[in-house]
Amino acid sequence: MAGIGFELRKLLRHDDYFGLIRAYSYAGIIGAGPWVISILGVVLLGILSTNHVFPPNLVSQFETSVTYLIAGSLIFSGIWQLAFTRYVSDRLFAREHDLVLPNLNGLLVAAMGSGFVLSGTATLFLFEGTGALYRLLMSALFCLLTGVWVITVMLTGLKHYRAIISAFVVGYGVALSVGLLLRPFGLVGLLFAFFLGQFLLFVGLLAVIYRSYPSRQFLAFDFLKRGQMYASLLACGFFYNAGIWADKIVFWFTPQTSQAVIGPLRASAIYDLPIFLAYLSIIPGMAVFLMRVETDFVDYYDQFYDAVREGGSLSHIRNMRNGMVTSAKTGIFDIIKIQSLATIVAFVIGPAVLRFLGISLLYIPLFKIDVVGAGLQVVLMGILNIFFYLDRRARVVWLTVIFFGLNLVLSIISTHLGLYFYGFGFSISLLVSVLIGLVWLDKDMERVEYQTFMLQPWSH
Amino acid sequence: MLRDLAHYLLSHPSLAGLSTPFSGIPAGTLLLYAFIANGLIAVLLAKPIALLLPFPYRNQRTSWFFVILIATVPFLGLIVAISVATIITRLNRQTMVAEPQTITIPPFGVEMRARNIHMGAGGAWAIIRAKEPGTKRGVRALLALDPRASRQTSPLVRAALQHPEEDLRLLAFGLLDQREGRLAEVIKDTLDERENLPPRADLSSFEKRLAFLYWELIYQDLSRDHLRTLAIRHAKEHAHAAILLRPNDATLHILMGRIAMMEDRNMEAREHFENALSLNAAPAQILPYFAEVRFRVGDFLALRHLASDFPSLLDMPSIGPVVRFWAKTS
Amino acid sequence: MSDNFPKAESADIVLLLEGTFPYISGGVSTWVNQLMRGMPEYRFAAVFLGSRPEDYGAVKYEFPENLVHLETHYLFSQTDMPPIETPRRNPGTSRCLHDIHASLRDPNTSSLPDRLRNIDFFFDPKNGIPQEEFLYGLDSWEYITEMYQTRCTDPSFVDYFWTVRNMHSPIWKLARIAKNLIPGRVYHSVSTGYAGTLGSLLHWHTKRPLILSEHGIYTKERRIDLFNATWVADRRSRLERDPSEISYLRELWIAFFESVGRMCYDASDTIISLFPEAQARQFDDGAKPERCSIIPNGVSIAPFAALHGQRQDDLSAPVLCLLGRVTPIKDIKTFIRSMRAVVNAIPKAVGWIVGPEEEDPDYVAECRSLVDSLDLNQHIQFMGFQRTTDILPQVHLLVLSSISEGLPLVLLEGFAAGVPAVCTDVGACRRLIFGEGDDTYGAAGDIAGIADPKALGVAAVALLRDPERWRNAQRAAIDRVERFYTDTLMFSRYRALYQQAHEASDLPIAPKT
Repeated sequence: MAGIGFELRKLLRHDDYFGLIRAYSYAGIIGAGPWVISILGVVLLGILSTNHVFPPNLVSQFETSVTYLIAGSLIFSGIWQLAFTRYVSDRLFAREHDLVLPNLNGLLVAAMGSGFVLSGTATLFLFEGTGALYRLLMSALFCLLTGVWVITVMLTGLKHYRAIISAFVVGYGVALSVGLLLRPFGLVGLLFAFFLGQFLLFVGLLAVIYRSYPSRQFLAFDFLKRGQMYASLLACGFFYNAGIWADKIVFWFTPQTSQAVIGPLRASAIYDLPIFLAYLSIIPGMAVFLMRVETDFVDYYDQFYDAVREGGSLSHIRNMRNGMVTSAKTGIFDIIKIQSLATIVAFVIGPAVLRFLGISLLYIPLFKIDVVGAGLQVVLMGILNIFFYLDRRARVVWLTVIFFGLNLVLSIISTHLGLYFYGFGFSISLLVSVLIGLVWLDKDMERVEYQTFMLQPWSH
Repeated sequence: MLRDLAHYLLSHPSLAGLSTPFSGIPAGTLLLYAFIANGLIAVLLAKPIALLLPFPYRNQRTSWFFVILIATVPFLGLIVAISVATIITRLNRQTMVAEPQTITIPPFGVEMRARNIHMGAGGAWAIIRAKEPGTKRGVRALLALDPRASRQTSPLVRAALQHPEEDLRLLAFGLLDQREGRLAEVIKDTLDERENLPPRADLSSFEKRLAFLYWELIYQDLSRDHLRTLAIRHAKEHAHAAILLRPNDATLHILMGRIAMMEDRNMEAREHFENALSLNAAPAQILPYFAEVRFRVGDFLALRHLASDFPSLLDMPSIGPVVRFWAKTS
Repeated sequence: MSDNFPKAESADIVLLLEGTFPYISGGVSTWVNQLMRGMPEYRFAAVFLGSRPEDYGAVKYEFPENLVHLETHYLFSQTDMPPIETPRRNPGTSRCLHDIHASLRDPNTSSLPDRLRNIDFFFDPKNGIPQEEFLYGLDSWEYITEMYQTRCTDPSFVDYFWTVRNMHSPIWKLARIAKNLIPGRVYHSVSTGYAGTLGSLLHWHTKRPLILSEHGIYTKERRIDLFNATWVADRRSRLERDPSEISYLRELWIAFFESVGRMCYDASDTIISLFPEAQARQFDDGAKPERCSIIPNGVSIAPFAALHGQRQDDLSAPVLCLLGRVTPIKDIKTFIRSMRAVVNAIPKAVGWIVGPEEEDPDYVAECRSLVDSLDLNQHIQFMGFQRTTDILPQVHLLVLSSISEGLPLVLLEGFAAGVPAVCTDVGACRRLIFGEGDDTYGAAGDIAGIADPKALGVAAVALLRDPERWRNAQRAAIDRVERFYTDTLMFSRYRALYQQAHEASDLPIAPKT
């Protein structure tokens, strides 16, 4: 029979006919949650050891080492985090549950292997003057942490919040108690305790994966094949984590604001403590964020895309769009409200807390501006998350690049402007990113259906 | 006690004793040695550890994972590797349980206009049979028959294959082809799914589904001639396989009974229906067949008992008169 | 483009081919090939329109000398889409969309709206609608949603949206093809549909004559496809659905092909069909009777007449042959079942199924197991693709059990080789078997009902058992085809058409090379 009408069916039966809209959950971005626990655990271990370790500077050596490990492994694994989470979401969407486990194992091989190349080289050549055992532990911890972050972010993306939190509590609990036991052995003892805690955490997280995503295959590298992961997600995973740490790194390596601690590692006594304490103030904001975005918003979101995919009517699609917009707006405003409240409380009780912890009151102005910045970081997370849901990856890349660039540049400028400007780089970069993000979000939200339908990529 | 032991093991004298041979070597070189030694251990141990994995993983290229794990994380990586190989991989649940799906009310679009034209199977047939139905009416009639895929409509659609109007012929042909195609596709998917199950998974639900799918082909009168005998054979095989795994499934017994009836193995059919009844199947579902089987084998006495036990049987148009007749004569 | 195809600056006749020559082998493609070879005095160009490159295999024909230019285009390949970005909004666009669709929907107009006759409409962002606007424009979006709300009775917006998109996007590709195509004196489209649309665009753009030859009736074929198509989603819920109502999206496609067909008829100067029933159908679909004429297919007589000497017409062990692709539309199963009846009556009878088997492997497998189960293994052979001149001398009766046919070439070839036929009553078969009008040669075989193996078998047996009747049928077959269905007859008619069109065309004749 002549004519090509016949073959049209091949066109429409194409599998990703509308599989294009599978932006799944990116709650992965709130991987910040676990690292707040990490920072808390380390600070606590340090404080508790202060009077039991000799010489006393061992504690700051330990804290600095672990902070570098966390920062380094977060930035390094950040490259994979989001892209891989999306890869897994896509597999789940395509009902290929049995590809999760083998590819995660593959990713662990790739990430930990390449991480080892990095950490091995660094410990071999950069850590002049430190012991072999210390270096060995540092290298091992870097690889292990990389593995832990990768699994954590994937599990957060898949919303296994409870499993993650319990694994972290157990891991850091053990690290803390063993740490107290091993205090007499100094730096190596403390690091080993931390190592043990991370080991338990890693095993626990692995167990969750094996239990939830059984597979007949053990190891696969499908995710590395061309077109399986989004380059844009590789980029924004990196820039997001790099952005978070940019200001700290600037302060660590500016001579006026930092001191050498151990080997090549430097710390900024003025900058670090206030900002880590300030991060404690984001807990209420995070909770609201989880509640609002992950429940109300996601409800509408799911219904919106279900209606699109499963062939809902336009009025239904529009109703769900409106619900999505409203819940996104209230969600972000709720984060802002609760975070403002938390900031005020931190302003009021901050000095008392610092005094109680025996920290100089000189830190107060810096602490205040850091609290504001940390609050804004929660808002930025919320915005990024909504962009992820809408699959506006280009927006996210730009926002994270802006955040990273501004944080780097403004922090360098602030180190030159003097003590009273410390912390402004961090906060202003966040403020600008948040404002840009809000403007973009407003624009995109109004045109969600238009963008979903009309600006659809042709080949997936 | 433990504390003392730890104290001793980690105490400086003990560590110092351990480290004497290395004392003169610079830390960097020592670290390099440590990395190399650990790497060697990783390469040597990865294979044996991989052998500890559960059976399905054993022949795959798994050692890489363990090499990397042990090489990058000294000391504890080994423990992670062993626990992955022995415990963690065995944690997975056997098979995924199908989750029940709830059906929600479909959201009605306000865009939809009201419609009110309806056509029953009879009306549709009358239109198709008319000499000059006109293409449009004929097409509508055929399409009206289509969703009522059943025993009755298939022959009607089949008859339309001879219609003088070419459009209708082609449409009828396509509709029959589609009905059969849809079932064939589901059967193929089910077979594929069964192929991809993990070992030792419960196959009974698949066998049952397949048996009923093949039965549907027969029931809807979609397979003819040899294809029909083939479908009956498949239905029988799968039903057998399923019933071995689920001897107490009443619906399977009913199916087996009906297949047996179709092949005129009436005694066997009766046995299956009796089993189904004893397994608490709804009597109304079985009795008509049951009665027919008894009728076929000539067991009229039992038929009469059946009638007195279940008076509702008398309402069945096909059996009622027979039962009444025998009730009168005795 | 993977082009080592011939290229030229201009051509006498531009053939517009949709899904046929040179990639698909079959009746129409063979005819196209035959036409070009039969008229060496004209320089032909051909435009092949396909769906996507991956849907077609290798070129199936050796190109004739006088095919001086060939280009291929794929209407549904998504590789050359414009970059995704929102185009600048133009105040006139919304008005323009409304006006054009209003005039397209008006049942009284059957011709292309004036604005669309200017090909620049498809490229000019100011006064027309370029492809970017259709794909990504805010005005298009608003128009699509408005149409969905006011007209669509299927609730699924996503299906509506993609239906609209898939339906319209080839039009811009066609416009681009029309704009860039080499000049030709006459355009000749071999179907309506997309090829016909290209023909109308070219006709209005260049003001040169357009000839339309229809072998099947495109609109009818599409209608059947669409009724049967599983890929056109129907998402009406159980409660919303009236089963006898065709889903709106199907109706949309059908209406699209119907109106495309009408516009193509309107643009064509001459509309050719193969036999009177097909012509009647063209009238129904909106063709103006004064432009329509009938040119039946023809075959080259000599190669088949040469076979007469090889024949051994021993009817005690007859060979019945079905020539055609093994696909459901040919209803091979009915032939196989009818062979059961034939073999019962004539135990030495043999059935051959000659034709390519790659199109529908499942169906082939079903046919083979049907042969098994009817215990016909000794009597039926699947021969695969064979040259008809090798097969026909050994055959005593052609059988055609198709559900749908036009004017089948195999029947003409069989007739020319002296093989009578038994056919189902489809297309022009009745006419070919019994003759009509001034054709008094008598029956060249017999006709049976569709999907009726018994009748088919009885008809075949009756013919084979009566040598007298069989011989008369053979005579009638040869005489009929040599009188009415020769290629020389067909060529002379087309030659006259081309001549007439050339005189109407303003393009000067290119110097012969």
